[in-house]
Amino acid sequence: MTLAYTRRLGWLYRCLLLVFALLALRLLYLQAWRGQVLGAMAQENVVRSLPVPAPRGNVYDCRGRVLVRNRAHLVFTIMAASLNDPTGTVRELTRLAELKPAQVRELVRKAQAASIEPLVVSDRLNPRQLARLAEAQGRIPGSRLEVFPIRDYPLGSLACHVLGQVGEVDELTLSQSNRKYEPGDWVGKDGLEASWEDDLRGVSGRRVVLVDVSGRPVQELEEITPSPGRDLVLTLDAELQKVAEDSLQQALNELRWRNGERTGGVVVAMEARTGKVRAMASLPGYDPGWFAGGISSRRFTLLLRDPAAPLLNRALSGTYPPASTFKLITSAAAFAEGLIKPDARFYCQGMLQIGEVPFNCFVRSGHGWLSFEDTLAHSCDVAYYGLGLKLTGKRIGQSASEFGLGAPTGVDLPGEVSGNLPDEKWKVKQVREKWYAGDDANMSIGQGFLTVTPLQMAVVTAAVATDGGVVRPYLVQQVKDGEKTVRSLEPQVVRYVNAPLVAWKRIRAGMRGAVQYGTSVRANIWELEIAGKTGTVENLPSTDNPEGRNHTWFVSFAPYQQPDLVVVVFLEKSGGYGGEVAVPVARDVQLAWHRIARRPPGAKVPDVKAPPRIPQPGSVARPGRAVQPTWSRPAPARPVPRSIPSVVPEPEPEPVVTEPEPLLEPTPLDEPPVGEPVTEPASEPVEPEPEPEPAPVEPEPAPAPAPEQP
Amino acid sequence: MKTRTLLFSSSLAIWLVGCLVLFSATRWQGGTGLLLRQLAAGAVGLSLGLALAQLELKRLRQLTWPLFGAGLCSLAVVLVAGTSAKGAQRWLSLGPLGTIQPSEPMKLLLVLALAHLMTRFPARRAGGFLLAWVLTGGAFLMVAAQPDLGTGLVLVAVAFGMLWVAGASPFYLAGVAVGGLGALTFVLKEYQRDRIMVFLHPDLDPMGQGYSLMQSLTAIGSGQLFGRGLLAGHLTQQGFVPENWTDFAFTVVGEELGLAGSLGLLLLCALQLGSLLAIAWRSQDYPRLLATGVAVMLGFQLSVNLAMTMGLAPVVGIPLPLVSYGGSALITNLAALGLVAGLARRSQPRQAAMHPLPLRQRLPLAG
Repeated sequence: MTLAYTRRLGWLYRCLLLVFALLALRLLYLQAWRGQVLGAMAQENVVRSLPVPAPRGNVYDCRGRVLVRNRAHLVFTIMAASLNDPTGTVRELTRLAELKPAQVRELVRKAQAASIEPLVVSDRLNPRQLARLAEAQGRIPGSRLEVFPIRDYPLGSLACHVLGQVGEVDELTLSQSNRKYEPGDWVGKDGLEASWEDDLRGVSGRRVVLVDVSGRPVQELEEITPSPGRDLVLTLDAELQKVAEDSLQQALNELRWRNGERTGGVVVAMEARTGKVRAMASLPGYDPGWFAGGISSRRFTLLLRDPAAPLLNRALSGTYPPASTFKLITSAAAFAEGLIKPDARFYCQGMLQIGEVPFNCFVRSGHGWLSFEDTLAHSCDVAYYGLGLKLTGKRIGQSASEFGLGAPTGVDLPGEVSGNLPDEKWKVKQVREKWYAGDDANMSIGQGFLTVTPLQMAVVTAAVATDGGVVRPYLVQQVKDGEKTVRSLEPQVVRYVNAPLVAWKRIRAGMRGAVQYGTSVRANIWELEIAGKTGTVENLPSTDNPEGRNHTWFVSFAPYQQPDLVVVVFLEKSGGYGGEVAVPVARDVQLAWHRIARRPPGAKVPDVKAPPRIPQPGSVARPGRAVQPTWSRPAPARPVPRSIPSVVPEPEPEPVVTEPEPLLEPTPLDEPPVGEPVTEPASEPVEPEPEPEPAPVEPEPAPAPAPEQP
Repeated sequence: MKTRTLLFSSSLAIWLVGCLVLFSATRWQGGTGLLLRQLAAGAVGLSLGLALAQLELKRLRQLTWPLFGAGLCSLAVVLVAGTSAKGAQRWLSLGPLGTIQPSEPMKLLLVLALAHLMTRFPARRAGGFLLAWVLTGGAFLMVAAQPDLGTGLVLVAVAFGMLWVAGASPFYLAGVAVGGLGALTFVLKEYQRDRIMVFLHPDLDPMGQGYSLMQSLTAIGSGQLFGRGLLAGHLTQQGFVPENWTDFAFTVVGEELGLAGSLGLLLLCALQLGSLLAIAWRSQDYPRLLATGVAVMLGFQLSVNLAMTMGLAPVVGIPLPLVSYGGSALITNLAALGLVAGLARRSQPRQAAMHPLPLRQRLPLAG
């Protein structure tokens, strides 16, 4: 070969040198110049930071009973992005987890979207599915059996509206939360869970893991343990709450029997001096446990559509006219204005003509001559029409707002409403009518446009019981971090109602009179001096209330001499009069609190049993398993005062027990058990105290002190 | 140092690096099976190379046509009865011995055949030129039909390099190059076109076609100056870089040994190719063409593979010689290196007489 071709070898050599130089430059660029950036990218690829949810804080009642805690919840998830054959794998998994076809379709759709987020295959696992999936976890890359803390309610539906529920954070909250939450976080949705969210939620931890290409964690690099949420200690007493709910439920059962309609009711028990809410029951309720692991939208819709509104906390979100209970406020205003002299007498002839319109007393025959105390005790409307006309609606409204009506009480629960405190301006604007003298009269007895919440009435009653002190009701008295108390909440008196001291004394005397000889004698027991005021809201028939049944109220405090606990009972569409159904409930609660409060300090705290399970919405109530096992069975061993034999005979159990399906067939209505109680309550106040009951004590607690004393 | 020794030691060093890479890249899958097979193939290749180094050139020329014929036959058998993987039919099953990939030895056989042919029919004449392309074209078509465009390109590059050194007309070569590129655009399959598109726009499809490239660049870059340490590269160890024991083997070096290790490997390769070219330089005719052919074969694969892993060339399935996993390729490469080392041994006395200057000055560093 000639030299020329040797030169060509030289060119080949130079080409090679050039290529190597290029490669070396490229290496320098990639590794020295961009090395940091690419290194960070690599880190992002292989390192995942997974949130570890923090257990929410526990909730205790005032005696340390657990109301809400956490339990372990197993969830099987899979990283769809790491699957070669997402559809096939998901199908296999769904077979293992025994899912329904609709759920499978949803999962397959999500799996094909191949998102980075883990896919929840199933979160309700029975042991068999659990075993199968645990085995599949090793076989299917990217799958994981995870344990989450979820809410657990040892007392079931007890105080459900107070405790509230949790749920997965929604889009709106997420976007407004300023990065406080991440998708998939659980937040309080209602009740204390919502209003004390910041204390309860804790700080979620992080697990920094090295993952392989299929997203499976291979090595843990760092773990930041979550710090659990703070615990809440409530003012609520679970024992009293149980008594309140049981008693209310029984009353509602009787009403359902009588009216053929499921209706709601409220009990609020609050310490008069402090505003500590000792019980707050709103029925019908729900089981917050349904929400703990996520509730299906179908079930949630059923709950929302239930005409009895089980999700509504009627104690602070329901507004109703206060009716005669409002006379407490009218009286206070009248005293403040000096309208009631010490020896004032009122004459009731059964009606009062205002302009053209006759305003009736609820006792048409009239009450005759009454002292001030008697007007309250017998709930004479005519006397208050007169006071109302003198005071005017404006002055009564001013007094009512001093008592806290027309504004939220400030309780530490979400969803509280203000009610409506109408005045002239409001009426002109909303009703387009001027304020008539009749409006003054109506307002004086709490009818008309005025609406209040049961909690507001509790505050009003507490003000009467404590010489005018308006308290802020509250439920959380301590926030604890483990054993350490982070915060203690003190009672708060918002303001004092302007009225002379004698006013409070005489109003309380009137309330005591109502119990002793007036409208609410059913609360007249020897063990405890209860004072109270009934109220009956007269309703016109409407779509919501076709029969036009009355709402009934009873506001009470006890003991009369040293007011301690205020109990407000409200029954929606109950029919009848306040003294009839509402009073016994309040009496039960007052009595229970009286016994609880009298216990020696070191006494053992009795356990509280969970109320019977509420059947889940959507599950078919079969005749064999009654929905609420007691509702159709009228109190078998009811303590004495309720069964005053002559007045309201209890319906007899026989026809009811044999009737298997009372839920859908309101047949009992056709033949009311015995007597017709609705028509007769007027006779009740006329009757003096029935024969002194020998043992108005409930059978269980009575013997309790006995063994200790001898 | 003798050129031969340099060639031997650099090649051995590259192979050792290859074994480390293989060990590191396959460890996350929890097996050393591939490493053992690669070591066995290395032993076979080494002994074959030593045998070839001892073989008389005359013998070699006698064996050229039968071997080339056998190579073509095996390619034909692959097309008819080969084993498929990843959409291509490239392997012949040998029962318990595993599989072989006949397109790999074909590279060396083409070098032998072309060198043999060109000493008979000078390439600067049209006849010799055409004959050379007939041989190359035949082998190329059979390989490309598998389809294995990468190996086919190696064959074409070998032919180009040898024809260039053998004195073929630059115009002819340019003509073939233009014609070939034109024809290629028709032949390219969908996925091959995609790869080129992805090379031009790597961020088009980061989870699909561009994925390999992105992961490869990320892995190499994250090695930074001194690497994450052997067996400590996150992307390598967790299987993020696909095929990082074959085509993307260099990413392991990049990530775990860093810039220092990468440049070191590059230097070893440069030494190896330099010594190959040096041997070609001081040989004549047939041996020179052989050495050139082997140098082009190794150099082209090396350059394209590294350029591909560093994002300088489209992704084509060309392995990194002596590093990537693959028994057939390793045996072929070691045999080729042994062959050239043998040439060096034989040509040494004569070359020494012809070139009294030391090696460095003899190489046309400055043109």
